[in-house]
Amino acid sequence: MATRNVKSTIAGTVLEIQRNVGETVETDDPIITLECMKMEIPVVAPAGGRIAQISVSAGDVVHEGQVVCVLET
Amino acid sequence: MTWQPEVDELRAREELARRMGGTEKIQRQHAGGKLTVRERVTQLLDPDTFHEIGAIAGKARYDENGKLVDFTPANFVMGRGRIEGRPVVVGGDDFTVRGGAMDAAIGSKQVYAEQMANELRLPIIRLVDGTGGGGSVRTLETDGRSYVPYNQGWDLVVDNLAKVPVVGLGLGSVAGLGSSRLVSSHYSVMVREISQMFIAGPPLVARTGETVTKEELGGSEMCARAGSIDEVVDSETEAFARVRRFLSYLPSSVFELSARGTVSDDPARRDDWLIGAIPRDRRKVYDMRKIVRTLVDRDSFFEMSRLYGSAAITGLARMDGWPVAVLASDPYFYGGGWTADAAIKITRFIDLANTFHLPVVNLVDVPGFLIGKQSEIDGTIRHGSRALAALYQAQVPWCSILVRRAFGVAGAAHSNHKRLAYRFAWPSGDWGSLPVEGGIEAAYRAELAASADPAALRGQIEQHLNQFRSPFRTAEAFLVEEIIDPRDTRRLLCDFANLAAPLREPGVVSASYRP
Repeated sequence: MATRNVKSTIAGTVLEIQRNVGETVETDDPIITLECMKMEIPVVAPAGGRIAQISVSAGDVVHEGQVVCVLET
Repeated sequence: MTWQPEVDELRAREELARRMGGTEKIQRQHAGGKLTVRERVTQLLDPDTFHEIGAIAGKARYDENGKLVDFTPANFVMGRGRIEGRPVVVGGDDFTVRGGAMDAAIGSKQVYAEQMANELRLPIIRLVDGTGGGGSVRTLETDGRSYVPYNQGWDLVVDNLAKVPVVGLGLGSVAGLGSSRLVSSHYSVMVREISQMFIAGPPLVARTGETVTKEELGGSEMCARAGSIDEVVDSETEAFARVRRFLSYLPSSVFELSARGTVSDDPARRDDWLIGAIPRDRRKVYDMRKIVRTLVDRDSFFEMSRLYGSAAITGLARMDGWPVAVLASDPYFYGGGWTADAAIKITRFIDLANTFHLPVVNLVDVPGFLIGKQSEIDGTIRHGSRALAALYQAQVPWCSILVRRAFGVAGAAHSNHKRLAYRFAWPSGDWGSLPVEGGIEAAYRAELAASADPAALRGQIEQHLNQFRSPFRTAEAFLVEEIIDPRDTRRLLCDFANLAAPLREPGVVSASYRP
């Protein structure tokens, strides 16, 4: 089984963690919601898989390209 | 006595040229997953249309009787051909001869190709698979001297950007001048895995103490994310298809106008889902690409530079058959806010549209420049102001659809306000110099400071101000000219394209293109 890092495409603040470790997601499912420019911007699954790790918490500031989640695909 | 012996010799020499660097080198090229330059030319062009020029230029060796005994062709193959029936110039590096390095070239062949495109006013496609311009330090020994460098033919390379479509394809490891030839284009593509691009390759970089592989140093995806090139594709065949598609939207030169394509889609087509395309909750994002694809002629959207400056979507498309340049915001990236890289991308794109007289359709949802320390570090205001300059210098017909937000300097840059405001707002329109949510603290500082419950007061002020936010209030004052049903947008854009078509003026524009 391969793992895949899910990176934030933007810098922003973590507003909400929408999915839990262990859950399965499909491509484009929102996993984490970030806040930036007064918008809620989702970090979506780049592929289907099981969430192996979520490496941020609500309120965290993330930078562009930061790994926020690891998927088992 | 005829000249048949000479014609026979000509054919024999051409045959020698077609062997390129020899069987072993060709096998190595194929083993590396790459086509030879001649295979590339054949695949790119319409069948049997290649007219080669300078095939027999190269280095010959003669015996003591003056008889030709060996011949190595120059490592640049070029000529004219056709793409979708239209004449083009193509020139490609032959990696099988000295790795495409300049020291095995006859530099004037490259210059000739550029000049031919320039004077015959034809698009040029560069198939880049070479290691640079200066060749190797070996030339010190063979020439017995060094030289002050200059970039041969660069006057033409630059002038071509103002006159004819220029496409660069990265089809191998590309360094130095080769890299610059690749990116000095209106559209550049690299093929994943077989192509890398850098200023200098890993051996030179290693001398600075940095050990990297070719892929780490100049992998195609990295180059696209850096904005050095526009596109990454998985195969050479796909790269050639992209070239053909890109050129289909453009005239052969700026002295002509893009032809109208087949009209295959109803200009009055209404897609019902557009009425709900923009979420009522201002904080929610939506899929702008889906909106773009719906509004333009079916299957006509050709996106460019997707991996770079992603807050802006740029691409070519057709409206009622007419080629147009489409600019749009992507709320998934910084809410569509202009980052430094988005601004650079927008500048290049406006310049492309202006150079080739393509009317612009701009789908606007811009909350402003991206704010914050990183944005300042990135020099966003400099790059954004450059985009503003491009906008105000552009002469092409321009139509903006205010899909949602237009705030601040970047929001104002949805069009040149001194020109006719050919624009339409959707009912979801929301605009101003600063969004209410962000501006209350600054504008009501004293009131909030004096309040016993600033949070409650803040809420009250926000609620109070929001009632003035309706786009209808702006329209009452004719500060926005038209509010439309989103489902009518395609019809109105097709109208625009038809009105814009006769306004396009061929010729070289004053603010043309820089790579």
